Amino acid sequence: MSTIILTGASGFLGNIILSNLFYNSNSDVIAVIRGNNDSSKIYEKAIGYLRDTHRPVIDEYAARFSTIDLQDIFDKKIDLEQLKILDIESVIHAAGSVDYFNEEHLTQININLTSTFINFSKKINAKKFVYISTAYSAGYTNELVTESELPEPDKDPTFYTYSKRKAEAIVATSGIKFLIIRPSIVIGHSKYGLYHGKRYGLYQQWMLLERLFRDSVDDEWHLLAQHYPLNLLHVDTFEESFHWAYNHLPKDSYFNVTSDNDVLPTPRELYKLWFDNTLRPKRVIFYEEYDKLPIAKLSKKQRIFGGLIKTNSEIASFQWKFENTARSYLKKLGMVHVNATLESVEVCQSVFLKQSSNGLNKLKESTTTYENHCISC
Amino acid sequence: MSNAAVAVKNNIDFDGTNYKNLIGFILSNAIAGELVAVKNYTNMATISPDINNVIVFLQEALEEASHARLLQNLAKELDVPVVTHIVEPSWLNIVKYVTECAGNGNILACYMAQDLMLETQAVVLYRIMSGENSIVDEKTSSIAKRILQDELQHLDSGSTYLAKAIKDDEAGFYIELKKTHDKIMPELFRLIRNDCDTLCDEMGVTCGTFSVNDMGSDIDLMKIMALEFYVESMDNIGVKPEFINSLVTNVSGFSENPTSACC
Ligand SMILES: [Fe+2]
Ligand SMILES: [Fe+2]
Repeated sequence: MSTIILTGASGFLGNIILSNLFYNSNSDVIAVIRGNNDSSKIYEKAIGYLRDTHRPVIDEYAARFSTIDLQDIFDKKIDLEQLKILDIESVIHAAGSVDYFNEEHLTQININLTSTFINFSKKINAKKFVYISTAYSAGYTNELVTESELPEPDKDPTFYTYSKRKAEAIVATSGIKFLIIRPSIVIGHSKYGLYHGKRYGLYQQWMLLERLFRDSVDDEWHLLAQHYPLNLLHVDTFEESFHWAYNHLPKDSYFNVTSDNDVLPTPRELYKLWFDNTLRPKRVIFYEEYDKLPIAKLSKKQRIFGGLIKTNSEIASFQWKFENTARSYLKKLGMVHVNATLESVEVCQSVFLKQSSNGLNKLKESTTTYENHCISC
Repeated sequence: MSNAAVAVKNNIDFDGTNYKNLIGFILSNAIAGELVAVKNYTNMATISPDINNVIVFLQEALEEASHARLLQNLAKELDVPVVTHIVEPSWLNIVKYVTECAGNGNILACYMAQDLMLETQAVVLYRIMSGENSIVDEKTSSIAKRILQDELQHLDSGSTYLAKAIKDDEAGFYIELKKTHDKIMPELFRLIRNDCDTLCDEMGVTCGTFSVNDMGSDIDLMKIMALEFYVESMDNIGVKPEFINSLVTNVSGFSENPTSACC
């Protein structure tokens, strides 16, 4: 029996990986956690996800799960010899920070902690290092985002993408066999719509629309939203991709885990999907650039909404093109890849709305007209 | 309808451990905020060149101290666990910043931190504690309503000063506002949460066993209410909407807890 060491198991993607390792492997899993994290909560969350996705849960999972404290790794209190005996199959590094504006935190977690785990992996003779990166680690580039080491772009959307690219480079040059997985924006389950992640990306947008407009509806909306696709990825597609990549991709692989541009919804379609099912304002005007928004004329709530999602909407305003070679290869071997489409996002949105406490979200009276703000003016 | 009946109706047990721990947690933080305000107003009094303002600051400090005492008494009456001194690092960072500004004779930054940022957050806190978007017991609600009136007045007198300051030196005002916002607001937003750094230990309760859901509220909504009122207050002072928006944009990057995103 082999052993896998997993970081970030209390986070969204790390916990999905934990569920998958229980369900799809025979390995023991040692999760590296911070002392203040409750290991039973992490376990329960992973088991809960299996149950919610209608998969059997067996007692054996608990016996295969244990934890070590991150602080003990820093303090060199871990018995490395004992870990060597365990024959560590891999270290899966899913811990990360998405704290966009906190450079110190991003450096500490995304860059320095990756170095820490690379060194740790070497010391315990781990056979493989798996790094959970992001599809946006390429930064702003008009070139195809290849499944290989990335060149420096002219510009990064945020320090976050820079820090993930640096971490990838640390992994790739470490000398350990590696797999770098780059998911795009992960949303709920394609079939069940459930989502256990933090309120980032689309979920942040929905949460803000729900909470901000809890007691009033604006008749006219001005929104930054493009007419080309936003790369969303269902959590089940992420899980399936992880599983197949982990078991079948050759050493030193990169894997862009994304959905296909030709079926993905656009940010404009996503707003329509929301408004059609909720507030139904009278008029919505879409803008191509943030600076064109008539900020001074907007209601307080729309200003707050626009301000809070500015960074994400700007990232969504860029059109990345991703290489899909790894996906094609794995699909030939039998991997199922479910794209995010307007219909499948609607499944997630309706689950979100069902849990909504906002009565206004059930209003469906008026009809909405949609306009595009003139591009050249 | 009796208090108990209302509570049962809304599925909130005012005598339950979770509710009591939550109220204790909120009262402890509110008391800390009041003590911070006492320090800030005292600092501002010592550097104010205008004797009339010195008197106003000292009166405000006195009011904040009496709020702290009201809250302490409330905790005793409700028999909830409470800490009556400042423990959370975020509060200490705020005091440190305002003390530094006062040390440099920078009264404008003190006004921004205390009268705009802390007071708007105090107003939202006492609104929630008085039952706005929440379900609370009658005693808590009535004390919160009483304190709320004072806080609105503090905000009002600060706003008058800041509205004048923006007219006197617009460019200087914006530089100072950005700096103070970057220092104070992340700390204040970090305080709107269910868990704690050291407070739970001192209170003798288990971190993570209660949340604002135990008073029928939610953390996301609280943050949004806090942000809305902050923006409204800046609007009233006359801060440019575009500038307010640039401040709001960076609020989205505030993390609840610097370590929470990892492992
Ligand atoms: Fe007060
Ligand atoms: Fe006050």
